[in-house]
Amino acid sequence: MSNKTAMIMVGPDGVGKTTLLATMYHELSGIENETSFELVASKDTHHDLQDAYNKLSTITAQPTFTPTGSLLKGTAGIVERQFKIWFNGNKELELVFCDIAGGLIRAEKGHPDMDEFKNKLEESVVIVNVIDGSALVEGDELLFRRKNEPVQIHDLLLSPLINNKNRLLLFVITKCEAWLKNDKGRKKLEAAFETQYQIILKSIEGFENVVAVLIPVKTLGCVEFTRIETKGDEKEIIYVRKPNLLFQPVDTDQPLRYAIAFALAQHNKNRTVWDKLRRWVRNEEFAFQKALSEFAQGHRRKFKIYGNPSLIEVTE
Amino acid sequence: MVTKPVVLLGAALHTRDIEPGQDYDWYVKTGEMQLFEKMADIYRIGLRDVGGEVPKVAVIIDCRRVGFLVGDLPSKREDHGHRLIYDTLYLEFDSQYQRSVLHAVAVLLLCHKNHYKHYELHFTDYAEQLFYNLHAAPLLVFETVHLPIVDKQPDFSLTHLQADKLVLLSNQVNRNRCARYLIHFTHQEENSFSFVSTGRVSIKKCQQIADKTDECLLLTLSSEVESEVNLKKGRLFGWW
Repeated sequence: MSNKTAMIMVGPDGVGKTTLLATMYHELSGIENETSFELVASKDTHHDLQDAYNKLSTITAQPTFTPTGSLLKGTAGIVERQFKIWFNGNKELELVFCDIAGGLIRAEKGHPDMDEFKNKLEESVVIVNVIDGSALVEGDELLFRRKNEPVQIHDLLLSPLINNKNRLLLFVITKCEAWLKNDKGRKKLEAAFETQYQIILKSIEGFENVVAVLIPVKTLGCVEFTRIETKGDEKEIIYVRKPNLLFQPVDTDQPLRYAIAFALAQHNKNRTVWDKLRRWVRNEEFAFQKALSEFAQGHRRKFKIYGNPSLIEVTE
Repeated sequence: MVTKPVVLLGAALHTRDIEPGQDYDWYVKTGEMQLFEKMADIYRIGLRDVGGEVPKVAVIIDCRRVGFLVGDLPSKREDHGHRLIYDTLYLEFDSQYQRSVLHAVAVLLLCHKNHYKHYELHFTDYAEQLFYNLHAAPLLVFETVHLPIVDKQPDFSLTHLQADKLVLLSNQVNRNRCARYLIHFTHQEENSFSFVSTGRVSIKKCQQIADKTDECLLLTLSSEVESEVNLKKGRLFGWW
């Protein structure tokens, strides 16, 4: 049995996929302090994501109350980030997390990266759809569709979801700092998501093998939506850095926490008979389930769940 | 910067435009190119989306042609998300200019990080000229390109390289050794050769690049490479 588990991020260019990955990794790289699991990136992945995080942290050097510029380069193709999960000093699982160029979601047949992209999508047990929260709440239909492309995402997701493999789908909303200040804002975000993504959510309800979680996050914490400006025929969303706020990602560990817990649970379920027997003899199974349960305790209960919730329930 | 004009046969540009949907791709292909497809493959495997601040350059010598690629060139343009757009420029020459091209690559490898910016700017100007003349394709936008001339000798005290299919860690010493090798390179007509200087690219991907030519020399920042790896021997003994 292969110990490699694939995960992929999808979403149009500019929604913040690479930013999310860099902050997710940074927030969760110290999990060994709270559980028996340890997330270790390969040295190259660590350097790349740490470089990206360091660049993001320079946001505080940008002027306040003026439109912010982006800090990371756009992705041009498919980038694989390699991680390992260790349990009690033993390698338990290898994770390959794919970051993609946003344009790939609408690439046509014959595109040099298309086959690789489709294969990665099919083999991924966790699919993260990153959504631009400002366009979701404040954008008109045209702007929302231009920024988030829900129709293309729906079409892309159908093929991997339709087979019987268990999948976790994470809808991660970025650029939504302005709505995460109170419950009213959160509810507004959730309502906008459920309205705009009702076709995808309806499809998910029809699959027993799929569970989805809606996770709004603050990737930067100090940059907020202010207004929408019209330039020529196009509308543009303006974000500014707030002077009284720090660079402080919030809840960015949560998508990776859900993803890892799901991957470990699936991995445990799919062990070979021989492996199960070996673990039973050594009394490892109980310790593993206990650790997984502790790790899953780190899930925030406030996130909305769609589809089959039993797929992410972890019991000791 | 001292340069010399070299006659161009073809050029291509990998970049993106402003709007969503106008993603990174080869936007311009002009002139008559024979090595472009091979170089585009190498770029896709080992130079695109690669982290690490080192010169991102590649050369292929094959079929009496020399292909030269320089990547990660910051343009002055921004996309819809206000992200700086980066260009990658590909130039193809007749093999009679092989020495000029290899010397230009040696210059990029030997120069100080602060000086590298001047060369970046030099090549970005050509890249942006191509971009703003998108509709001129397939005609050549410019007939000659000014390539930098070696103005600094490599360190001759360092161990001489015997290129076969070799991956080296991209540090100052190995960049120096590669520069020396390229300056004194003599091409054997029947063999194809490639040189790639890139960031954190795994040995597995280096092997994929090496498979594209008979001989190859690669510089990577990957932590998998401590000093140097002979890919032929590595494959023989199944080291990865």
